[in-house]
Amino acid sequence: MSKRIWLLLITLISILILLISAFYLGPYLRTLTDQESISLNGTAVTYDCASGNCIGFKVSPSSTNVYVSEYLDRLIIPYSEDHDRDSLENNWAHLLNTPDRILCLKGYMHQYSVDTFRIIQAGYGGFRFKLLEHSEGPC
Amino acid sequence: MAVRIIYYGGTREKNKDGSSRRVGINDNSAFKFAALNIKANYQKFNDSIILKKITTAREIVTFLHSQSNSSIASLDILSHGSPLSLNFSLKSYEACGFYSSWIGKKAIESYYSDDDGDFTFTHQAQSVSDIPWSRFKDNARIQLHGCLTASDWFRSPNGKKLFPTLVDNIVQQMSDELDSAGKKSAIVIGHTTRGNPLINGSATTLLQQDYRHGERKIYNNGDLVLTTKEKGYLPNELLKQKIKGWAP
Repeated sequence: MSKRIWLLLITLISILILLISAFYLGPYLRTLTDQESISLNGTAVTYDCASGNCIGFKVSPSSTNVYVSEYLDRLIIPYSEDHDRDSLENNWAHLLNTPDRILCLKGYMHQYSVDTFRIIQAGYGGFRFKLLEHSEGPC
Repeated sequence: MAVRIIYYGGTREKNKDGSSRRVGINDNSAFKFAALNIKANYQKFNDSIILKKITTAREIVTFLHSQSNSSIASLDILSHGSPLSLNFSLKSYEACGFYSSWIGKKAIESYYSDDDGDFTFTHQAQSVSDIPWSRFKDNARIQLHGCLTASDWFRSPNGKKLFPTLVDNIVQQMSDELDSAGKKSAIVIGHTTRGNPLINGSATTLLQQDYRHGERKIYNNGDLVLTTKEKGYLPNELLKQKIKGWAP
């Protein structure tokens, strides 16, 4: 086979791999969560989202949970199977007026960021967090 | 008499179940206070001032159409924004604001889509090319007070560059449109950073809220003519000194 055909073949295969990653592999990987639940101290922040400004959390240091050090400063985007996004945000709106107000969040961290295998980055990035419980104050 | 138009709001105020969305109400309240400060600055001109709450981009375009040719001295829009859009929304994942161009629209639809839903612009959304630019005065001033509207990069909240826009940002696009409409002295102003209303830092009172601080870029005839960190209203006298060859 000539060089030109090889080049064309490699290009086509690369495009195919990219498309499969974007449409199948990415969505699958982004659903994967850690096996064990964790408790994190989170400080409320806003991030750029489809609703203009959404409420997410930056992981804060914790004296009790030293293992969260790998998550420090990570933007986490909590969601719940019991409450929709709007009602969660309504409960947290007051936190934005009180800087450094800590919330204890218990749940499952997603293993891959919201941008994994996306063609264009989703908002500010970050990791989804399947929320089981939350309470005001540190864990 | 010339007219000065100030639009504020655009953030979704209703939850899916119809109840009040506190985050949206708080954001729109900050935009309103900042709009009132702009209105106070404009009182010194002998112009008619119109303050309106944003519903959709289409409503804005319709309202601008109702004005006479070469009658609008200024247009201020206080809302959420991005380098390629002004973000107005009535329903979750549905945008009814302005986008810079077809490419800008597609990029923003992808940027705000996530695993919870696909973000789309509704028929109430408009391209900046839909704005009737003939209604503006030759020396009109447009200012977008939302985040990053004059930035060539999408940025994280701490200012870190995420990725380039690759096409003109929405402020530059508006300046291009004014140039095409023959409004050669018109300027368009926007932020290069994430805007916030705390003009006096944490000591800012509700009434003092104002987005006119931080780095702003000014475009004339589609070209960048000034980058400034001056606070507050930028008087023509100051701009004349700083922008070579520009006369309002």
